[in-house]
Amino acid sequence: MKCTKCKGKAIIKLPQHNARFCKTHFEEYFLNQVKKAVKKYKMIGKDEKVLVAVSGGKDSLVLWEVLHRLGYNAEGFYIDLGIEEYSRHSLELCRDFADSRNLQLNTVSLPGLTGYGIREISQKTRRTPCSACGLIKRYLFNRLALERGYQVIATGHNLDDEAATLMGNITRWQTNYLSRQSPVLPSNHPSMVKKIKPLCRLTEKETSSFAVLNGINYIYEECPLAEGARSILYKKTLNYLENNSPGTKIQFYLGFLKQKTELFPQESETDLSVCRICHQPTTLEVCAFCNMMEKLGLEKITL
Amino acid sequence: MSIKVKVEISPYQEHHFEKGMKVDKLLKELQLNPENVIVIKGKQLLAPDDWVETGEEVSIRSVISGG
Repeated sequence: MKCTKCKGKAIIKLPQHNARFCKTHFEEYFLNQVKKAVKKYKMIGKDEKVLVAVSGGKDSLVLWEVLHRLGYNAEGFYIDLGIEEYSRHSLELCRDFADSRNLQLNTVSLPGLTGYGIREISQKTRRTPCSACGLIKRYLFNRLALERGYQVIATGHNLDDEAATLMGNITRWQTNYLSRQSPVLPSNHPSMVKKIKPLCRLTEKETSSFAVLNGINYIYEECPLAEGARSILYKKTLNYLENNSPGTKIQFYLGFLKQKTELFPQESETDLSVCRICHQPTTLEVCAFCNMMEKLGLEKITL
Repeated sequence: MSIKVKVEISPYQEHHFEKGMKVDKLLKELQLNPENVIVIKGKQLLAPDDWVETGEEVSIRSVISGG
């Protein structure tokens, strides 16, 4: 198998682009896809400081690596969710990554803040672990970014994540979610930090390959609490289609982005106010995070 | 001598093949969708047309993360 560009030995085949690349040209392609997304969706402004949400998984560490290589001022943020050995190992991988590149890693421990890990919080608040985890992460990312002066939060969501979310939203016809699904969630309140997904044009197979080719050690075991998550079923279904009809995922996702404004117009923005307890933006009197903390018998959390 | 294949996907499995074969054939034999996995020898990423010899060991890793 030869590289489409230089005819050297190819190490990866990308049927969706009818291309095969050697290591050098795969990396060039990969960085170009990120640059394209950043430019098209106006993700990072001049002099903006980026907080990369890292989990120790392939996507977030690869994202940090790529933003760093592209010259952005990008620092990491890791939340220890208190998932025993899994959390210990993933924090260690994030620290190793940051130390080896002399990058700044911010860390927060959920058991340190609340006295509970995500498993206990999920049980006590009757939320699924993924739902509780999502809510806590979104809140802490925004609050830390705001308190420490970051203008952008970057997450490692890739094409498969976005296509799976889209499939989930379509199968349940959640038009409200469809109108909001975007590679950029702009700040619509002074206390709301912009969120971006620079890997949205790249598949999980590509981010995994990039990690291995660049010696990035990542946690590849599945999160023990995510077992049976519906998103995994959607991803496998989309990959079945992709294998039989290359290009399905990118066409599905980019086609949606192109037409979503017309097909799923955004309803008028609900006015955001601030939470009575923590002063973070919310549509309610008490935000969902503080509401969760109240259920745990906790008061205001200090980072 | 055989090919030793460690499938690092829960539940962890180990397979042995008596004959050498290409990576894409190996995935077919194991009924794995190439979109769902990468194949690694040591620290090296293998391409679909790379040959795996008897006596060699490869790992198959899922690329899917969930939640």
